[in-house]
Amino acid sequence: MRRGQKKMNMEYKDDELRRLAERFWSGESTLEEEKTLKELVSYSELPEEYQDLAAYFESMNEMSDELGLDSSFDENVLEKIDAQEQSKIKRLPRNRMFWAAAAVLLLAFSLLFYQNQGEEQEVMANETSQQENQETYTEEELQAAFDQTQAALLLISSKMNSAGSHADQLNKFHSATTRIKSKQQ
Amino acid sequence: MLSWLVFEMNMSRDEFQHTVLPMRDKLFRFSFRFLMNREDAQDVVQEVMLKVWENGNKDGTILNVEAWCMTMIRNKSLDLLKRKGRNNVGIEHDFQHPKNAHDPGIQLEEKEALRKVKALMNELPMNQRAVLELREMQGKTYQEIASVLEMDINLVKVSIHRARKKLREAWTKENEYGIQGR
Repeated sequence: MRRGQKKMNMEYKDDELRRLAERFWSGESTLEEEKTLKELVSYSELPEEYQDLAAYFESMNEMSDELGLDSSFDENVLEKIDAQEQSKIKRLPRNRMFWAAAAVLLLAFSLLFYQNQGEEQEVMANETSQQENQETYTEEELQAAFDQTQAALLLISSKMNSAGSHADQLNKFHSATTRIKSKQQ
Repeated sequence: MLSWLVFEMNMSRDEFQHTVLPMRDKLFRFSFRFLMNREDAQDVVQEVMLKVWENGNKDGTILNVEAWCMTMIRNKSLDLLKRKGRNNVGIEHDFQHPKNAHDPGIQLEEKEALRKVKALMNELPMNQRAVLELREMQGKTYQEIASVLEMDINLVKVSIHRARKKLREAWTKENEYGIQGR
């Protein structure tokens, strides 16, 4: 039973190997199929007819390993990058550093101005409250202020009275016109 | 003062070191498939990497940095070929000087047939070399290869088929010759 199973597996592997090899040499195989093919080729009992395939894979692996750059390349690239960054830093004062300095100065002046204004307002408020506390009026001053206010109010009142008499005349005119209209109808 | 610099780039030095620099061998091999010259390929890779750093993916339009690098490598390599007036000739057989060249044992053990296949890889047309690099060594899909090389997907498959066939034939011929010669 075990022998039969092994034979079946071998037959399956041979068929699969043949199918995949054909697809590989014709340039139609997928990456997945090529991966399976490499696994089958690495199998120890590879038939003679597939030795070319094994040699092909081996030569490709060797070529891949042989050609490369060493770590000095990395160091060289990183040095160049650092040199680039240094030159950027040196270039900064011309453009960005100017604007940075301008922004800082503006901010400093704004703060200074704001602080001074706050202090002035505080002083003024103190002075006003002190004045209010200190100010007292005499009897004569108060009487004069009362008289002036009364005169102003009387003037307004007289004007309003004259406006009222004009309004009466308008009412009389309106009632006369309505009477005439009603008679005509 | 350094904080000002951070505004100018999305990619940090650390990020660059861990995402872009590890691609150096892939990019180098890909450039080499076009230029067939180590120094030129190294210059191109360095130029592309510095470009990545300068741009720093500012606008976020580079979704796949590796694919972007590959396309840049292709373009820069082809530009250099044009400037130098070179095409697919003047091949420098760099595989004679592999990383493990210092180990004479490995060199002696290397099979002649394999050496022949590797040498032939350098003599393939430029597009076939580039296609094989992306497929066999970097495991790219046909679509990704077509996109990087700006080729039709069917042409990619045909190029892969032709390149594999040539290398297979070279191995078979060399192997048969070796058996007959014994």
